[in-house]
Amino acid sequence: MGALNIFENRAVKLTVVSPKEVALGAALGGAGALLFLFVFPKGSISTLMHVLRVPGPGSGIALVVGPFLVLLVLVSSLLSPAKGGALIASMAFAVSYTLVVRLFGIATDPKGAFGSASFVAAIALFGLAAETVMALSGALSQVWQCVLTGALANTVLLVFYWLVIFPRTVGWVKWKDIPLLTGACLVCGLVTGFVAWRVSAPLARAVKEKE
Amino acid sequence: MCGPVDFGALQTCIINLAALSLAAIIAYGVCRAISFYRKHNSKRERPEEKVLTHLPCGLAVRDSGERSNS
Repeated sequence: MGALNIFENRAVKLTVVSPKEVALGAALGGAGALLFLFVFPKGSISTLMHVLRVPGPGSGIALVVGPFLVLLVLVSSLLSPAKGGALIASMAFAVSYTLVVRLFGIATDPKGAFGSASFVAAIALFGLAAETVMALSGALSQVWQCVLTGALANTVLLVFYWLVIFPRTVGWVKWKDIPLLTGACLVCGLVTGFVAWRVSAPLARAVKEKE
Repeated sequence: MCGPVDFGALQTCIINLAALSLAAIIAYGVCRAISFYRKHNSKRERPEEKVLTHLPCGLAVRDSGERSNS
C-alpha cells in the first residue's frame, strides 16, 4: 500500500513534455549532429587517438564521442523542465546524423559504424541511460546529478560499443586495456557533466528571461 | 593500433574546432557589448531619482518606481 502511494506520488510529479520542449530538444540534437559532422570528419577521431597513443578500441568513444553527447544531452535536459529532454536530444542527434550522412553520402569512420542502425541503437541507449540516472538521482543536487549522469551514460555507451559494435568492425577490446579506458571514460564523463552544468545555468536564465 | 592514420582529417578537425571557438568567442563578445550598451543607455534615459533628504533619522525614500511588497 505504502509502495503504491509512493508510485502514485511520483506519477503525479511527472510532467508532460510540451511541443515547445520537444522542439527545443530536437533542435539541440540536430544542431549537435551537424556540429559533430563539421568538427570531426572521417578518420579524425581515430587519428587523434593514434597521435595521443591511447589504447583502443573505445578510446575515441570514451574521450570524444561520449563527452560530446553528454554535453548535448545534459544541456537539453537542464533547459527543459519536463522529463524526457535527454532522450529527445539524443534521438534527434542520432536520426539527424544518420539522415544527413545518408542523404549527402558523407563518408564516416567504419570503425564506429556512424550512421548505421547499431549507431542509432547506441545513442538511444545512451539517452535512456542519461534519462534514467537523472530521474533516479532526483534527490541529489543538480551538479551531482549532472556529474553522475555524465559518468554513467558515457560508460554505458562505451560498454555498448565494446559488446555490440566493435566486435563486428575492429575486434574485441583487450582485457588489459579495460581498466584504463573505463577510468578515462568515467573521468571524462564527470568533467563533461560538470561543464554541462556550468554552461546550462546562464543558458537557462537567458531562456527564462526571453519567456 | 588505432586504425588507418589520416593526418589530413585531423588537421581539418583542428582547423574547424579553432574556427568554431573563434566564432563562439566573437559571438560572446558581441552579446556582452550589446548588453553593456543597453544597460548604459537605459541608465542615461532614466529620469534622475528623487531623494527626500529632509526625513527624520536619516531615512531617505527613493522614488525609483519600485513597488514594495509590504
